[in-house]
Amino acid sequence: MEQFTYLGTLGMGSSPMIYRPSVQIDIRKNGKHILQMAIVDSGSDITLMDFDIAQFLEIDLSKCREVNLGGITGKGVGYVSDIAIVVERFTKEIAVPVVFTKELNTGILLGQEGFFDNYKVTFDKRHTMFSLEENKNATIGFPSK
Amino acid sequence: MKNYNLSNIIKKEHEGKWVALSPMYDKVVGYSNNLVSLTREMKNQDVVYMKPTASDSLYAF
Repeated sequence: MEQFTYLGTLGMGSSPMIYRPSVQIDIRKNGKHILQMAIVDSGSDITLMDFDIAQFLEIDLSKCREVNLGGITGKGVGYVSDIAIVVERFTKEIAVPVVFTKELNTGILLGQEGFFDNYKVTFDKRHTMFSLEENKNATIGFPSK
Repeated sequence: MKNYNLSNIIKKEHEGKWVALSPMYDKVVGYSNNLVSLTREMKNQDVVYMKPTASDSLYAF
């Protein structure tokens, strides 16, 4: 099990700081890779990433399955592709289905399908800490195409 | 030790853009509207990318 600290940025909540559970991940696809900070979001059904990351990874989204997205800010569309990620302080590369979309207000949300299947996540907001524990028996059944 | 309080380095001009952070998260090395251009600008530098949210909004993603 590994413990991580929430990442603090300026915000407008009840305090001037907003703390979000965020972790560094190495994203891999098509022989390319990029280090990114990602928010761990138990409220997302699946991992979401900004369109620009698909462009960097040279993923042809026209060949990917289109899906509808819904959230508090309305509806949108996204395109599903499988990628590999390695989470900071872990060595195992895991396959994660990702929806690439233009509708995000941030870069990456690590969601239930794929990420939470692979890690037991425990949040401790009071101490602005969270922990990740590998689920060695994880299976992923989301059809990406 | 890594800097987990980004409020002293992420400024208004970085919000909604791609930012390249130093490995210890203590410095913004570069930023751009376009991730691919930013990665080209950074070349082989050891950086971590992120896209900060706007500080004048609360988010329920």
